[in-house]
Amino acid sequence: MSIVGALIVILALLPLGISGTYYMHVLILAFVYVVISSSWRVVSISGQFNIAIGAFMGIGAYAAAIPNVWLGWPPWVTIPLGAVAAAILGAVLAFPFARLRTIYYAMGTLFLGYVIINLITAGGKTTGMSTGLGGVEPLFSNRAHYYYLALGLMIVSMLCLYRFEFSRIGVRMKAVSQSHEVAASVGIGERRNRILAVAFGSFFAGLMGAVYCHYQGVASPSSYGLAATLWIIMYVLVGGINSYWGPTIGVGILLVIPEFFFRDLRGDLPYVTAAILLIIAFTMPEGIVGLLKLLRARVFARRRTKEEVSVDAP
Amino acid sequence: MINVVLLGVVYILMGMGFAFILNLLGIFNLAHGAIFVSAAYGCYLLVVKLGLPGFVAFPLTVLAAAAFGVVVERFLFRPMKADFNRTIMVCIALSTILVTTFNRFLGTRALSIPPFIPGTTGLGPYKVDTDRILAFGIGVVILVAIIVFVDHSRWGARMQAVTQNSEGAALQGIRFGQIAAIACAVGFGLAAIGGVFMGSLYNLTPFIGDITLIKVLMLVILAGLGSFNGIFYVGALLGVLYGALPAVLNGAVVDALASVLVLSLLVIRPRGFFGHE
Repeated sequence: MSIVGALIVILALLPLGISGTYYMHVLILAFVYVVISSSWRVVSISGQFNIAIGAFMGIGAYAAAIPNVWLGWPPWVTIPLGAVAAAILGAVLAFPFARLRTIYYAMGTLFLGYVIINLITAGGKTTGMSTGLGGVEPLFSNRAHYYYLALGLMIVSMLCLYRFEFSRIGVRMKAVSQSHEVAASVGIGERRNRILAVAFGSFFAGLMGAVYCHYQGVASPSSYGLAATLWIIMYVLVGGINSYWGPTIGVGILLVIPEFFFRDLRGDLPYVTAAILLIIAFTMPEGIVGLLKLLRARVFARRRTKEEVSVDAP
Repeated sequence: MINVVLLGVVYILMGMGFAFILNLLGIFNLAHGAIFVSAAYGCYLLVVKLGLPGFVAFPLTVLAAAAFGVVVERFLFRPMKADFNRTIMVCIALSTILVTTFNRFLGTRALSIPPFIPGTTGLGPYKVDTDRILAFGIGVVILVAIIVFVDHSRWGARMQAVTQNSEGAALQGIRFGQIAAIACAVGFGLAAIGGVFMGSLYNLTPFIGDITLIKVLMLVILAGLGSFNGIFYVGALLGVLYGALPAVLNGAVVDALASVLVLSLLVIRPRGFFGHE
Protein backbone atom coordinates (compact mmCIF):
# COMPACT_ATOMS: atom_id res chain seq x y z
CA MET A 1 0.00 0.00 0.00
CA SER A 2 2.87 2.38 0.78
CA ILE A 3 4.29 1.72 -2.70
CA VAL A 4 0.99 2.78 -4.25
CA GLY A 5 0.88 5.93 -2.11
CA ALA A 6 4.42 6.84 -3.08
CA LEU A 7 3.64 6.23 -6.75
CA ILE A 8 0.59 8.50 -6.61
CA VAL A 9 2.62 11.26 -4.95
CA ILE A 10 5.36 10.94 -7.58
CA LEU A 11 2.83 11.01 -10.41
CA ALA A 12 1.09 14.04 -8.88
CA LEU A 13 4.36 15.97 -8.62
CA LEU A 14 5.70 14.85 -12.00
CA PRO A 15 4.25 17.70 -14.15
CA LEU A 16 6.39 20.16 -12.14
CA GLY A 17 9.60 18.52 -13.22
CA ILE A 18 8.68 17.03 -16.58
CA SER A 19 9.98 18.66 -19.73
CA GLY A 20 8.15 18.49 -23.01
CA THR A 21 4.51 17.79 -23.62
CA TYR A 22 5.23 14.44 -25.24
CA TYR A 23 5.99 12.63 -22.00
CA MET A 24 2.90 14.11 -20.43
CA HIS A 25 0.87 12.92 -23.38
CA VAL A 26 2.21 9.38 -22.95
CA LEU A 27 1.33 9.42 -19.26
CA ILE A 28 -2.22 10.65 -19.95
CA LEU A 29 -2.54 7.82 -22.46
CA ALA A 30 -1.18 5.42 -19.86
CA PHE A 31 -3.71 6.53 -17.22
CA VAL A 32 -6.53 6.03 -19.70
CA TYR A 33 -5.32 2.55 -20.62
CA VAL A 34 -4.70 1.55 -17.01
CA VAL A 35 -8.39 2.10 -16.30
CA ILE A 36 -9.58 0.43 -19.50
CA SER A 37 -7.38 -2.63 -19.14
CA SER A 38 -8.28 -2.95 -15.45
CA SER A 39 -11.95 -2.82 -16.38
CA TRP A 40 -11.31 -5.54 -18.96
CA ARG A 41 -9.75 -7.65 -16.24
CA VAL A 42 -12.79 -7.14 -14.02
CA VAL A 43 -14.93 -8.50 -16.84
CA SER A 44 -12.52 -11.42 -17.18
CA ILE A 45 -12.82 -12.47 -13.53
CA SER A 46 -16.32 -13.67 -14.34
CA GLY A 47 -14.74 -15.98 -16.92
CA GLN A 48 -15.43 -13.85 -19.97
CA PHE A 49 -12.66 -13.27 -22.48
CA ASN A 50 -14.26 -10.18 -23.98
CA ILE A 51 -12.69 -9.04 -27.28
CA ALA A 52 -15.05 -6.08 -27.66
CA ILE A 53 -13.78 -3.72 -24.94
CA GLY A 54 -12.34 -1.30 -27.52
CA ALA A 55 -15.75 -1.04 -29.12
CA PHE A 56 -17.31 -0.11 -25.76
CA MET A 57 -14.64 2.54 -25.37
CA GLY A 58 -15.74 3.71 -28.82
CA ILE A 59 -19.39 3.79 -27.76
CA GLY A 60 -18.42 6.01 -24.84
CA ALA A 61 -16.40 8.26 -27.12
CA TYR A 62 -19.13 8.64 -29.73
CA ALA A 63 -21.88 9.02 -27.15
CA ALA A 64 -19.87 11.97 -25.83
CA ALA A 65 -18.73 13.38 -29.18
CA ILE A 66 -22.04 13.35 -31.07
CA PRO A 67 -24.10 15.46 -28.57
CA ASN A 68 -21.10 17.72 -28.08
CA VAL A 69 -20.48 18.41 -31.76
CA TRP A 70 -24.02 18.45 -33.11
CA LEU A 71 -26.06 19.65 -30.11
CA GLY A 72 -23.41 21.71 -28.35
CA TRP A 73 -23.80 19.97 -25.00
CA PRO A 74 -21.00 20.86 -22.56
CA PRO A 75 -18.28 18.24 -21.89
CA TRP A 76 -19.28 17.94 -18.23
CA VAL A 77 -22.59 16.48 -19.42
CA THR A 78 -21.32 14.43 -22.35
CA ILE A 79 -18.54 12.59 -20.49
CA PRO A 80 -20.86 10.99 -17.90
CA LEU A 81 -23.32 10.42 -20.73
CA GLY A 82 -20.66 8.44 -22.61
CA ALA A 83 -19.95 6.29 -19.57
CA VAL A 84 -23.63 5.58 -18.89
CA ALA A 85 -24.35 4.86 -22.56
CA ALA A 86 -21.50 2.35 -22.69
CA ALA A 87 -22.72 0.66 -19.50
CA ILE A 88 -26.33 0.38 -20.71
CA LEU A 89 -25.37 -0.85 -24.17
CA GLY A 90 -22.90 -3.21 -22.54
CA ALA A 91 -25.63 -4.73 -20.40
CA VAL A 92 -28.05 -5.02 -23.33
CA LEU A 93 -25.48 -6.59 -25.64
CA ALA A 94 -24.12 -8.86 -22.92
CA PHE A 95 -27.56 -10.38 -22.46
CA PRO A 96 -27.54 -12.67 -25.52
CA PHE A 97 -23.82 -13.37 -25.15
CA ALA A 98 -24.25 -14.70 -21.63
CA ARG A 99 -25.13 -18.03 -23.24
CA LEU A 100 -21.72 -18.41 -24.82
CA ARG A 101 -18.70 -19.68 -22.96
CA THR A 102 -14.92 -19.96 -23.39
CA ILE A 103 -13.69 -19.75 -26.97
CA TYR A 104 -17.19 -19.22 -28.36
CA TYR A 105 -17.54 -16.14 -26.20
CA ALA A 106 -14.15 -14.86 -27.34
CA MET A 107 -15.01 -15.36 -31.01
CA GLY A 108 -18.49 -13.94 -30.60
CA THR A 109 -17.32 -10.79 -28.86
CA LEU A 110 -14.51 -10.30 -31.35
CA PHE A 111 -17.21 -10.28 -33.95
CA LEU A 112 -19.43 -8.01 -31.87
CA GLY A 113 -16.66 -5.43 -31.67
CA TYR A 114 -16.29 -5.53 -35.43
CA VAL A 115 -20.02 -5.06 -35.93
CA ILE A 116 -20.20 -2.12 -33.50
CA ILE A 117 -17.35 -0.34 -35.26
CA ASN A 118 -18.95 -1.06 -38.64
CA LEU A 119 -22.27 0.38 -37.50
CA ILE A 120 -20.54 3.48 -36.16
CA THR A 121 -18.71 3.91 -39.45
CA ALA A 122 -21.92 3.45 -41.40
CA GLY A 123 -23.50 6.36 -39.48
CA GLY A 124 -22.95 8.86 -42.28
CA LYS A 125 -22.32 12.52 -41.49
CA THR A 126 -23.38 12.13 -37.84
CA THR A 127 -20.39 9.95 -37.00
CA GLY A 128 -18.02 11.25 -39.63
CA MET A 129 -17.69 7.84 -41.36
CA SER A 130 -14.27 6.20 -41.33
CA THR A 131 -12.29 9.44 -40.95
CA GLY A 132 -13.87 10.05 -37.55
CA LEU A 133 -15.78 12.89 -35.97
CA GLY A 134 -13.59 15.93 -35.43
CA GLY A 135 -14.16 19.24 -33.67
CA VAL A 136 -14.96 17.80 -30.23
CA GLU A 137 -14.77 20.61 -27.70
CA PRO A 138 -11.63 20.49 -25.53
CA LEU A 139 -12.00 20.61 -21.76
CA PHE A 140 -8.94 22.69 -20.95
CA SER A 141 -6.33 24.57 -22.88
CA ASN A 142 -3.51 23.42 -20.62
CA ARG A 143 -2.24 19.88 -20.97
CA ALA A 144 -1.30 19.66 -17.29
CA HIS A 145 -4.99 20.03 -16.39
CA TYR A 146 -5.77 16.99 -18.51
CA TYR A 147 -2.97 15.19 -16.76
CA TYR A 148 -4.51 15.82 -13.35
CA LEU A 149 -8.00 14.97 -14.59
CA ALA A 150 -6.79 11.65 -15.99
CA LEU A 151 -4.79 10.91 -12.85
CA GLY A 152 -7.74 11.71 -10.59
CA LEU A 153 -10.15 9.66 -12.67
CA MET A 154 -7.67 6.79 -12.68
CA ILE A 155 -7.39 6.80 -8.89
CA VAL A 156 -11.17 6.97 -8.40
CA SER A 157 -11.84 4.28 -11.02
CA MET A 158 -9.20 1.98 -9.62
CA LEU A 159 -10.72 2.35 -6.15
CA CYS A 160 -14.15 1.45 -7.57
CA LEU A 161 -12.76 -1.53 -9.43
CA TYR A 162 -10.91 -2.66 -6.30
CA ARG A 163 -14.06 -2.43 -4.21
CA PHE A 164 -15.97 -4.29 -6.89
CA GLU A 165 -13.51 -7.15 -7.23
CA PHE A 166 -13.03 -7.80 -3.53
CA SER A 167 -16.68 -7.38 -2.61
CA ARG A 168 -19.30 -10.09 -2.35
CA ILE A 169 -20.15 -9.53 -6.03
CA GLY A 170 -16.56 -10.05 -7.08
CA VAL A 171 -16.40 -13.33 -5.19
CA ARG A 172 -19.63 -14.45 -6.87
CA MET A 173 -18.11 -13.68 -10.24
CA LYS A 174 -15.03 -15.72 -9.50
CA ALA A 175 -17.31 -18.57 -8.49
CA VAL A 176 -19.21 -18.33 -11.77
CA SER A 177 -15.93 -18.35 -13.65
CA GLN A 178 -14.60 -21.44 -11.90
CA SER A 179 -17.73 -23.55 -12.19
CA HIS A 180 -21.04 -22.13 -13.26
CA GLU A 181 -22.81 -25.33 -12.23
CA VAL A 182 -21.53 -25.30 -8.67
CA ALA A 183 -22.22 -21.56 -8.48
CA ALA A 184 -25.79 -22.15 -9.65
CA SER A 185 -26.25 -24.88 -7.05
CA VAL A 186 -25.61 -22.39 -4.24
CA GLY A 187 -27.88 -19.77 -5.79
CA ILE A 188 -25.44 -17.66 -7.75
CA GLY A 189 -26.99 -16.97 -11.12
CA GLU A 190 -24.51 -17.15 -13.97
CA ARG A 191 -26.24 -14.88 -16.43
CA ARG A 192 -26.97 -12.05 -14.01
CA ASN A 193 -23.43 -11.88 -12.70
CA ARG A 194 -21.85 -12.04 -16.12
CA ILE A 195 -24.05 -9.22 -17.45
CA LEU A 196 -23.27 -7.16 -14.38
CA ALA A 197 -19.54 -7.64 -14.94
CA VAL A 198 -19.77 -6.50 -18.55
CA ALA A 199 -21.91 -3.48 -17.66
CA PHE A 200 -19.53 -2.47 -14.88
CA GLY A 201 -16.44 -2.89 -17.06
CA SER A 202 -18.05 -1.06 -19.99
CA PHE A 203 -18.89 1.89 -17.75
CA PHE A 204 -15.23 2.60 -17.06
CA ALA A 205 -14.18 1.84 -20.63
CA GLY A 206 -16.84 4.28 -21.87
CA LEU A 207 -15.84 6.90 -19.30
CA MET A 208 -12.20 6.86 -20.33
CA GLY A 209 -13.14 6.65 -24.01
CA ALA A 210 -15.20 9.83 -23.60
CA VAL A 211 -12.47 11.67 -21.68
CA TYR A 212 -9.86 10.67 -24.18
CA CYS A 213 -12.00 11.76 -27.10
CA HIS A 214 -12.46 15.23 -25.54
CA TYR A 215 -8.71 15.36 -24.97
CA GLN A 216 -7.86 14.43 -28.56
CA GLY A 217 -10.67 16.50 -30.08
CA VAL A 218 -11.63 13.66 -32.40
CA ALA A 219 -13.40 10.29 -32.23
CA SER A 220 -12.10 8.00 -34.95
CA PRO A 221 -13.20 4.39 -35.43
CA SER A 222 -9.69 3.08 -35.99
CA SER A 223 -8.79 3.73 -32.34
CA TYR A 224 -11.54 1.37 -31.15
CA GLY A 225 -11.11 -1.55 -33.55
CA LEU A 226 -9.75 -5.05 -33.15
CA ALA A 227 -6.11 -3.94 -32.93
CA ALA A 228 -6.86 -1.51 -30.09
CA THR A 229 -8.79 -4.17 -28.19
CA LEU A 230 -6.05 -6.73 -28.59
CA TRP A 231 -3.46 -4.32 -27.22
CA ILE A 232 -5.65 -3.64 -24.19
CA ILE A 233 -5.78 -7.39 -23.60
CA MET A 234 -2.01 -7.60 -24.07
CA TYR A 235 -1.48 -5.06 -21.27
CA VAL A 236 -3.46 -7.30 -18.95
CA LEU A 237 -1.75 -10.53 -19.99
CA VAL A 238 1.73 -9.04 -19.76
CA GLY A 239 1.09 -7.70 -16.28
CA GLY A 240 -0.73 -10.78 -15.10
CA ILE A 241 -4.40 -11.60 -15.55
CA ASN A 242 -4.72 -13.10 -12.07
CA SER A 243 -3.74 -10.00 -10.17
CA TYR A 244 -5.44 -6.68 -9.52
CA TRP A 245 -2.23 -4.75 -10.25
CA GLY A 246 -1.48 -6.75 -13.40
CA PRO A 247 -3.01 -4.31 -15.93
CA THR A 248 -1.25 -1.34 -14.32
CA ILE A 249 2.11 -3.04 -14.52
CA GLY A 250 1.34 -4.22 -18.05
CA VAL A 251 0.64 -0.67 -19.25
CA GLY A 252 3.88 0.43 -17.65
CA ILE A 253 5.90 -2.29 -19.34
CA LEU A 254 4.25 -2.34 -22.74
CA LEU A 255 3.22 1.29 -23.26
CA VAL A 256 5.23 3.65 -21.05
CA ILE A 257 8.65 2.04 -21.24
CA PRO A 258 8.74 1.66 -25.06
CA GLU A 259 7.39 5.20 -25.58
CA PHE A 260 9.82 6.73 -23.09
CA PHE A 261 13.02 4.90 -23.88
CA PHE A 262 12.66 3.52 -27.39
CA ARG A 263 10.92 6.48 -28.97
CA ASP A 264 13.78 7.08 -31.42
CA LEU A 265 13.03 3.81 -33.16
CA ARG A 266 9.74 5.21 -34.53
CA GLY A 267 8.59 2.67 -37.14
CA ASP A 268 10.54 -0.11 -35.47
CA LEU A 269 8.83 0.38 -32.12
CA PRO A 270 6.42 -2.54 -32.68
CA TYR A 271 9.43 -4.86 -32.72
CA VAL A 272 10.21 -3.87 -29.14
CA THR A 273 6.66 -4.53 -27.95
CA ALA A 274 6.56 -7.84 -29.85
CA ALA A 275 9.85 -8.86 -28.24
CA ILE A 276 8.45 -8.01 -24.80
CA LEU A 277 5.36 -10.11 -25.55
CA LEU A 278 7.45 -13.10 -26.59
CA ILE A 279 9.73 -12.86 -23.56
CA ILE A 280 6.75 -12.71 -21.21
CA ALA A 281 4.92 -15.55 -22.96
CA PHE A 282 7.97 -17.79 -22.80
CA THR A 283 9.31 -17.07 -19.35
CA MET A 284 6.36 -15.86 -17.27
CA PRO A 285 3.11 -17.80 -17.76
CA GLU A 286 1.35 -15.65 -15.14
CA GLY A 287 2.79 -12.34 -16.34
CA ILE A 288 5.06 -10.00 -14.43
CA VAL A 289 3.01 -10.28 -11.23
CA GLY A 290 3.29 -14.06 -11.40
CA LEU A 291 7.06 -13.71 -11.52
CA LEU A 292 7.07 -11.30 -8.58
CA LYS A 293 4.92 -13.68 -6.55
CA LEU A 294 7.25 -16.54 -7.37
CA LEU A 295 10.29 -14.52 -6.30
CA ARG A 296 8.63 -13.47 -3.08
CA ALA A 297 7.63 -17.03 -2.30
CA ARG A 298 11.23 -18.17 -2.86
CA VAL A 299 12.66 -15.46 -0.64
CA PHE A 300 10.19 -16.25 2.13
CA ALA A 301 10.79 -19.97 1.82
CA ARG A 302 14.53 -19.45 2.18
CA ARG A 303 14.07 -17.27 5.25
CA ARG A 304 11.76 -19.81 6.82
CA THR A 305 14.16 -22.69 6.30
CA LYS A 306 16.94 -20.62 7.87
CA GLU A 307 14.76 -19.91 10.90
CA GLU A 308 13.84 -23.57 11.22
CA VAL A 309 17.48 -24.55 11.03
CA SER A 310 18.40 -22.09 13.74
CA VAL A 311 15.59 -23.37 15.96
CA ASP A 312 16.60 -26.98 15.50
CA ALA A 313 20.24 -26.32 16.23
CA PRO A 314 21.12 -26.71 19.88
CA MET B 1 -20.02 -14.91 -61.49
CA ILE B 2 -16.48 -16.24 -61.44
CA ASN B 3 -15.69 -13.51 -58.87
CA VAL B 4 -18.32 -14.90 -56.56
CA VAL B 5 -17.07 -18.45 -56.85
CA LEU B 6 -13.45 -17.43 -56.53
CA LEU B 7 -14.06 -15.33 -53.44
CA GLY B 8 -15.85 -18.31 -51.97
CA VAL B 9 -12.86 -20.52 -52.71
CA VAL B 10 -10.46 -18.07 -51.05
CA TYR B 11 -12.64 -17.92 -47.93
CA ILE B 12 -12.93 -21.69 -47.82
CA LEU B 13 -9.15 -22.10 -48.13
CA MET B 14 -8.58 -19.63 -45.32
CA GLY B 15 -11.31 -21.11 -43.17
CA MET B 16 -9.97 -24.64 -43.60
CA GLY B 17 -6.50 -23.52 -42.58
CA PHE B 18 -7.85 -21.75 -39.53
CA ALA B 19 -10.05 -24.70 -38.60
CA PHE B 20 -7.13 -27.14 -38.89
CA ILE B 21 -5.16 -25.21 -36.31
CA LEU B 22 -8.16 -24.51 -34.08
CA ASN B 23 -9.45 -28.09 -34.02
CA LEU B 24 -6.18 -29.91 -33.69
CA LEU B 25 -4.10 -27.58 -31.55
CA GLY B 26 -6.90 -25.73 -29.81
CA ILE B 27 -5.16 -22.49 -30.77
CA PHE B 28 -7.14 -19.41 -31.68
CA ASN B 29 -4.72 -18.33 -34.38
CA LEU B 30 -4.97 -14.55 -34.48
CA ALA B 31 -1.86 -14.50 -36.69
CA HIS B 32 -3.73 -16.19 -39.54
CA GLY B 33 -4.44 -12.88 -41.27
CA ALA B 34 -0.78 -11.89 -41.00
CA ILE B 35 0.32 -15.17 -42.57
CA PHE B 36 -2.14 -14.56 -45.38
CA VAL B 37 -0.74 -11.07 -46.05
CA SER B 38 2.86 -12.22 -45.71
CA ALA B 39 2.37 -14.93 -48.30
CA ALA B 40 0.86 -12.43 -50.72
CA TYR B 41 3.78 -10.04 -50.18
CA GLY B 42 6.26 -12.89 -50.43
CA CYS B 43 4.84 -13.94 -53.77
CA TYR B 44 4.84 -10.31 -54.91
CA LEU B 45 8.52 -9.98 -54.06
CA LEU B 46 9.41 -13.23 -55.82
CA VAL B 47 7.54 -12.27 -58.99
CA VAL B 48 8.31 -8.55 -59.19
CA LYS B 49 11.74 -8.23 -57.59
CA LEU B 50 13.29 -11.53 -58.58
CA GLY B 51 11.40 -11.91 -61.83
CA LEU B 52 10.41 -15.52 -61.23
CA PRO B 53 7.49 -16.81 -63.29
CA GLY B 54 4.27 -17.28 -61.39
CA PHE B 55 4.38 -21.06 -61.71
CA VAL B 56 7.60 -21.16 -59.73
CA ALA B 57 6.82 -18.39 -57.29
CA PHE B 58 3.42 -19.72 -56.26
CA PRO B 59 4.47 -23.21 -55.11
CA LEU B 60 7.60 -21.73 -53.57
CA THR B 61 5.54 -19.33 -51.46
CA VAL B 62 3.18 -22.05 -50.34
CA LEU B 63 6.00 -24.42 -49.41
CA ALA B 64 7.79 -21.65 -47.55
CA ALA B 65 4.61 -20.89 -45.62
CA ALA B 66 4.14 -24.57 -44.76
CA ALA B 67 7.73 -24.81 -43.55
CA PHE B 68 7.20 -21.65 -41.54
CA GLY B 69 4.13 -23.31 -40.03
CA VAL B 70 6.23 -26.24 -38.83
CA VAL B 71 8.80 -23.88 -37.33
CA VAL B 72 6.14 -21.77 -35.62
CA GLU B 73 4.45 -24.86 -34.20
CA ARG B 74 7.70 -26.27 -32.84
CA PHE B 75 9.21 -23.10 -31.37
CA LEU B 76 6.23 -20.86 -30.62
CA PHE B 77 3.08 -22.92 -30.14
CA ARG B 78 4.39 -26.10 -28.51
CA PRO B 79 6.17 -24.42 -25.57
CA MET B 80 2.89 -22.66 -24.73
CA LYS B 81 1.12 -25.96 -23.98
CA ALA B 82 -2.16 -24.68 -25.46
CA ASP B 83 -2.55 -22.09 -22.70
CA PHE B 84 -5.11 -19.76 -24.27
CA ASN B 85 -3.68 -16.50 -22.92
CA ARG B 86 -0.10 -17.29 -23.80
CA THR B 87 -0.87 -18.49 -27.33
CA ILE B 88 -2.76 -15.27 -27.96
CA MET B 89 0.26 -13.28 -26.86
CA VAL B 90 2.50 -15.28 -29.16
CA CYS B 91 0.11 -14.92 -32.11
CA ILE B 92 -0.09 -11.17 -31.67
CA ALA B 93 3.67 -10.84 -31.35
CA LEU B 94 4.08 -12.89 -34.52
CA SER B 95 1.55 -10.90 -36.52
CA THR B 96 2.96 -7.59 -35.24
CA ILE B 97 6.44 -8.56 -36.41
CA LEU B 98 5.25 -9.70 -39.84
CA VAL B 99 2.98 -6.73 -40.53
CA THR B 100 5.54 -4.18 -39.27
CA THR B 101 8.20 -5.68 -41.47
CA PHE B 102 6.09 -5.47 -44.61
CA ASN B 103 4.89 -1.96 -43.78
CA ARG B 104 8.44 -0.84 -43.27
CA PHE B 105 9.90 -2.17 -46.48
CA LEU B 106 6.99 -1.98 -48.89
CA GLY B 107 4.87 0.84 -47.49
CA THR B 108 1.12 0.74 -47.08
CA ARG B 109 0.11 1.55 -50.66
CA ALA B 110 -1.87 -0.97 -52.64
CA LEU B 111 0.18 -3.40 -54.70
CA SER B 112 -0.82 -6.14 -57.04
CA ILE B 113 0.85 -9.38 -58.05
CA PRO B 114 1.00 -9.44 -61.86
CA PRO B 115 -1.21 -12.10 -63.45
CA PHE B 116 0.40 -15.46 -64.14
CA ILE B 117 -1.24 -15.70 -67.56
CA PRO B 118 -2.36 -12.44 -69.12
CA GLY B 119 -5.39 -12.28 -71.37
CA THR B 120 -8.95 -13.43 -71.27
CA THR B 121 -10.83 -16.51 -72.30
CA GLY B 122 -14.28 -16.62 -73.79
CA LEU B 123 -16.61 -18.58 -71.54
CA GLY B 124 -19.93 -18.74 -73.31
CA PRO B 125 -21.04 -15.16 -73.76
CA TYR B 126 -18.68 -13.80 -71.10
CA LYS B 127 -15.02 -12.91 -71.21
CA VAL B 128 -13.09 -13.95 -68.12
CA ASP B 129 -9.46 -13.44 -67.13
CA THR B 130 -7.64 -16.71 -67.78
CA ASP B 131 -5.85 -16.17 -64.52
CA ARG B 132 -9.05 -16.36 -62.54
CA ILE B 133 -10.13 -19.58 -64.18
CA LEU B 134 -6.73 -21.04 -63.41
CA ALA B 135 -6.90 -19.86 -59.80
CA PHE B 136 -10.35 -21.36 -59.45
CA GLY B 137 -9.11 -24.66 -60.88
CA ILE B 138 -6.13 -24.78 -58.55
CA GLY B 139 -8.26 -23.85 -55.57
CA VAL B 140 -10.80 -26.59 -56.25
CA VAL B 141 -8.10 -29.21 -56.81
CA ILE B 142 -6.45 -28.29 -53.54
CA LEU B 143 -9.74 -28.39 -51.65
CA VAL B 144 -10.57 -31.81 -53.04
CA ALA B 145 -7.08 -33.00 -52.16
CA ILE B 146 -7.51 -31.76 -48.59
CA ILE B 147 -10.86 -33.50 -48.24
CA VAL B 148 -9.44 -36.76 -49.57
CA PHE B 149 -6.46 -36.34 -47.25
CA VAL B 150 -8.63 -35.85 -44.19
CA ASP B 151 -11.18 -38.53 -45.01
CA HIS B 152 -9.15 -41.27 -46.63
CA SER B 153 -5.54 -41.18 -45.54
CA ARG B 154 -3.92 -42.64 -42.46
CA TRP B 155 -2.79 -39.19 -41.33
CA GLY B 156 -6.27 -37.82 -41.86
CA ALA B 157 -7.70 -40.54 -39.65
CA ARG B 158 -5.14 -39.71 -36.97
CA MET B 159 -6.09 -36.05 -37.20
CA GLN B 160 -9.74 -36.84 -36.76
CA ALA B 161 -8.89 -39.00 -33.78
CA VAL B 162 -7.00 -36.13 -32.18
CA THR B 163 -9.88 -33.75 -32.85
CA GLN B 164 -12.35 -36.08 -31.19
CA ASN B 165 -10.31 -37.08 -28.19
CA SER B 166 -6.67 -36.09 -27.96
CA GLU B 167 -5.91 -38.14 -24.85
CA GLY B 168 -7.46 -41.25 -26.31
CA ALA B 169 -5.52 -40.71 -29.50
CA ALA B 170 -2.29 -40.38 -27.53
CA LEU B 171 -3.06 -43.68 -25.80
CA GLN B 172 -3.35 -45.31 -29.22
CA GLY B 173 0.18 -44.24 -30.02
CA ILE B 174 -0.58 -41.19 -32.13
CA ARG B 175 2.11 -38.61 -31.59
CA PHE B 176 0.51 -35.27 -30.94
CA GLY B 177 3.63 -33.34 -31.93
CA GLN B 178 3.64 -34.79 -35.44
CA ILE B 179 -0.05 -34.17 -35.94
CA ALA B 180 0.29 -30.61 -34.69
CA ALA B 181 3.21 -29.94 -37.03
CA ILE B 182 1.25 -31.26 -40.01
CA ALA B 183 -1.81 -29.27 -39.02
CA CYS B 184 0.22 -26.07 -38.80
CA ALA B 185 1.96 -26.75 -42.09
CA VAL B 186 -1.36 -27.39 -43.82
CA GLY B 187 -3.01 -24.46 -42.09
CA PHE B 188 -0.30 -21.96 -42.99
CA GLY B 189 0.02 -23.41 -46.50
CA LEU B 190 -3.71 -22.96 -47.12
CA ALA B 191 -3.53 -19.41 -45.80
CA ALA B 192 -0.66 -18.78 -48.20
CA ILE B 193 -2.64 -20.09 -51.17
CA GLY B 194 -5.55 -17.86 -50.21
CA GLY B 195 -3.18 -14.93 -49.80
CA VAL B 196 -1.58 -15.34 -53.20
CA PHE B 197 -5.00 -15.61 -54.89
CA MET B 198 -6.23 -12.54 -53.08
CA GLY B 199 -3.04 -10.63 -53.86
CA SER B 200 -3.02 -11.46 -57.53
CA LEU B 201 -6.72 -11.11 -58.23
CA TYR B 202 -7.61 -8.24 -55.94
CA ASN B 203 -5.59 -5.53 -54.20
CA LEU B 204 -2.73 -6.18 -51.86
CA THR B 205 -2.41 -3.90 -48.82
CA PRO B 206 -1.31 -4.69 -45.26
CA PHE B 207 -4.92 -4.24 -44.15
CA ILE B 208 -6.45 -7.16 -46.03
CA GLY B 209 -5.16 -9.47 -43.31
CA ASP B 210 -7.44 -8.17 -40.57
CA ILE B 211 -10.46 -7.98 -42.86
CA THR B 212 -9.93 -11.52 -44.06
CA LEU B 213 -9.40 -12.75 -40.51
CA ILE B 214 -12.83 -11.38 -39.64
CA LYS B 215 -14.37 -13.13 -42.64
CA VAL B 216 -12.67 -16.35 -41.66
CA LEU B 217 -13.97 -16.09 -38.12
CA MET B 218 -17.42 -15.50 -39.50
CA LEU B 219 -17.04 -18.62 -41.62
CA VAL B 220 -15.76 -20.76 -38.77
CA ILE B 221 -18.46 -19.51 -36.39
CA LEU B 222 -21.21 -20.17 -38.93
CA ALA B 223 -19.89 -23.59 -39.86
CA GLY B 224 -19.33 -24.59 -36.27
CA LEU B 225 -16.15 -25.68 -34.56
CA GLY B 226 -14.98 -29.18 -35.26
CA SER B 227 -16.64 -29.28 -38.64
CA PHE B 228 -14.69 -29.47 -41.88
CA ASN B 229 -17.54 -30.03 -44.31
CA GLY B 230 -19.60 -27.17 -42.95
CA ILE B 231 -16.88 -24.79 -44.04
CA PHE B 232 -17.60 -25.65 -47.69
CA TYR B 233 -21.25 -24.80 -47.62
CA VAL B 234 -20.81 -21.69 -45.53
CA GLY B 235 -17.80 -20.57 -47.57
CA ALA B 236 -19.89 -20.77 -50.71
CA LEU B 237 -22.65 -18.82 -48.97
CA LEU B 238 -20.23 -16.08 -47.90
CA GLY B 239 -18.76 -15.96 -51.40
CA VAL B 240 -22.22 -15.30 -52.78
CA LEU B 241 -22.90 -12.76 -50.08
CA TYR B 242 -19.73 -10.76 -50.64
CA GLY B 243 -19.24 -11.39 -54.35
CA ALA B 244 -22.76 -10.91 -55.69
CA LEU B 245 -24.75 -8.75 -53.30
CA PRO B 246 -22.56 -5.61 -53.42
CA ALA B 247 -23.71 -5.27 -57.06
CA VAL B 248 -27.27 -4.81 -55.80
CA LEU B 249 -26.80 -3.32 -52.33
CA ASN B 250 -24.41 -0.92 -50.64
CA GLY B 251 -21.26 -2.67 -49.33
CA ALA B 252 -21.83 -1.48 -45.78
CA VAL B 253 -25.35 -2.89 -45.84
CA VAL B 254 -24.05 -6.29 -46.95
CA ASP B 255 -21.50 -6.23 -44.16
CA ALA B 256 -24.15 -5.35 -41.61
CA LEU B 257 -26.44 -8.06 -42.99
CA ALA B 258 -23.77 -10.73 -42.72
CA SER B 259 -22.82 -9.55 -39.25
CA VAL B 260 -26.38 -9.68 -37.99
CA LEU B 261 -26.72 -13.17 -39.46
CA VAL B 262 -23.64 -14.38 -37.62
CA LEU B 263 -24.51 -12.73 -34.33
CA SER B 264 -28.04 -14.05 -34.30
CA LEU B 265 -26.81 -17.53 -35.15
CA LEU B 266 -24.27 -17.38 -32.34
CA VAL B 267 -27.03 -16.54 -29.95
CA ILE B 268 -29.57 -19.06 -31.22
CA ARG B 269 -27.22 -21.90 -31.97
CA PRO B 270 -23.69 -21.38 -30.61
CA ARG B 271 -22.43 -24.56 -32.23
CA GLY B 272 -22.97 -23.23 -35.74
CA PHE B 273 -24.89 -24.83 -38.58
CA PHE B 274 -22.76 -27.94 -38.85
CA GLY B 275 -21.05 -28.07 -35.50
CA HIS B 276 -21.26 -30.90 -33.06
CA GLU B 277 -19.74 -31.56 -29.70
